[in-house]
Amino acid sequence: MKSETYKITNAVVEDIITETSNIKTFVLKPDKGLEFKTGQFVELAVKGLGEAPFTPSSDPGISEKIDMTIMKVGLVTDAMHNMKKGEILGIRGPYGQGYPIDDFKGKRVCVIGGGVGLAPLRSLLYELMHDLSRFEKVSLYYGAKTPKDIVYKNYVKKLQQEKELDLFLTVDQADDSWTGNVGVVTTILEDLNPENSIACVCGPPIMMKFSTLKLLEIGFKEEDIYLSMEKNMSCGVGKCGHCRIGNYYACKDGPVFTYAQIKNFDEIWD
Amino acid sequence: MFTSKLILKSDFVDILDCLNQGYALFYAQKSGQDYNISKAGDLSNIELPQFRASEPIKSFLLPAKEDFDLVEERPIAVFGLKGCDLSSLAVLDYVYLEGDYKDSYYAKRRESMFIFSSDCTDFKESCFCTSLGYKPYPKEGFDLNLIKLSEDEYVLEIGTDKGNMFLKNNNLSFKNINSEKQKKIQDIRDAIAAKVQENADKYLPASLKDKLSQAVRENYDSQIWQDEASRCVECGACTVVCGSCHCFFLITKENSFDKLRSWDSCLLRSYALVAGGANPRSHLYERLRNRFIKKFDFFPKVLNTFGCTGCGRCVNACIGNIDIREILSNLIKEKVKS
Repeated sequence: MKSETYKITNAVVEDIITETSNIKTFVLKPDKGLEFKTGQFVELAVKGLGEAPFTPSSDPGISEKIDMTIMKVGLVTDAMHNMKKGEILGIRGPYGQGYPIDDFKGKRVCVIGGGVGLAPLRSLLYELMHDLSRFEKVSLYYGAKTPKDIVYKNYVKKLQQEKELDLFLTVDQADDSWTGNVGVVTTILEDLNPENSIACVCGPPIMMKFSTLKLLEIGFKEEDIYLSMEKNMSCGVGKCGHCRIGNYYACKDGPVFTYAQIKNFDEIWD
Repeated sequence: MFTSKLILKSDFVDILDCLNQGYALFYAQKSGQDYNISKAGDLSNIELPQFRASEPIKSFLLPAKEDFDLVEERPIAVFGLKGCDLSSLAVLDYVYLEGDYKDSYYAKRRESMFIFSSDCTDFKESCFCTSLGYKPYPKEGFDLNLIKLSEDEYVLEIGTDKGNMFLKNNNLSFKNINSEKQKKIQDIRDAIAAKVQENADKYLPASLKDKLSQAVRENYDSQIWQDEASRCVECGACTVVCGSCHCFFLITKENSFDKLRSWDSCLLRSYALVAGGANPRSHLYERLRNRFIKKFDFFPKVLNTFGCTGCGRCVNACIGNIDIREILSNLIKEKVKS
């Protein structure tokens, strides 16, 4: 038995990187190293206020420092955005099942992200890029509202120079600086080859829904579409009930599910 | 088979007296037409409760508001729990003790709690355990169980080593029952089960038990949910009094990372809401339906049991007169119709 369920570990905010107008990356140094598999999530706590679930965006090979990329959308995240370097957050986890990397071996891995949904996918990309020879191909398809809303601008620039990885970017609304594709993410998925491919999708619910429908339309199998689901994961360990999706709990059985696993349950996109 | 002893009324008061020494003893006490489980006072006038109390067993295993940092001085003993309470332990134990993580707080209470149950001798109008395949007497899960044979004669069933050791340590020894009494117990139990079923069948016949899960599943789009939800005021009372409802939320204490736990209710709009504003069940009827799916589809699938033991507490608690038996019976009719 893992004693003292729900107890947190202190984590120092070592650095704060402003990604966009409402997204920041917090570099955390937990008191105890926190080993996680890419796709697993943690609960982050603000003292006296509350907790919320987030998926690390850093390299799963590094347990001493963990990056958490957080959009300002509610009580807990508002407080986080007001924090300064050196302050303390609480952390517990990791929870849930990560991406089944071994199942991706020898395949074309299509990583598809929208907005802040690139956070868990960046952690996945770090993991994949530990040894790209394991896969036939790794490609990233990423969409943001505007060029300013692209997260990890330096990292994305680095990826653009990476010969072994194909990168496709799009924005819903361009500005003068933008020379790339304009349109929602699904507009850059048209030419995907479903042959021997799997897709990992993460983003806002509406983006996940239409990306999944597009992938199915171009021939992806339901069991080859991996979705990182956002639900109200509160306890993190399958007890509190909030994040149930049909027969599963997002916290213990997910948050990564194949579309085949959850397609019959209503309410998955809401 | 359990070891069964023949005891007198005075013996049963002695047992409670001894429990009161070693445990924080709670017992079911008559309050109007109902029983409420409260801290033991004067034990001399104690009666065996006729039917289940207003509080479910979860109240003692998962306090409604729980401070994880408070340590209880004495373990709890409860007298007056009924078959429906003990049946709900299957659900609570599955949620809190199974899987990769045990809930350490539940586990500690579950381990230390002394359960002294008793057979039902009567029923409330809302009782319908028989409709779901249960009996109005405990079959397992108790340390001691009491069966009333007559005004002065009782049978004490010893369900666990803990129950046995308690009797031994307190020098409480009683004679075993004979086969004639054994037969009498069965007759009494058959009679009360028949009585409960006769009443419960008026609302939800026991013969429909095996069709319940399917009826809930196949009536996902039925108008019934919206009709019933029109009377729901979203108070969450049904989930509060339910012995199998287990959902909670965590509260962070002021100026600290320490936590409190409080019961939550899936009927409330905020239940599954996420910070970005997405809510898988933004309509009340979806949340009412969800409660039935959890109880009659989810738990049968993951645990092979209903997430409902037919205690009928939600029927009494609902100020909108929403009746779980009626909904289930209507869902079955609806399915047959379509």
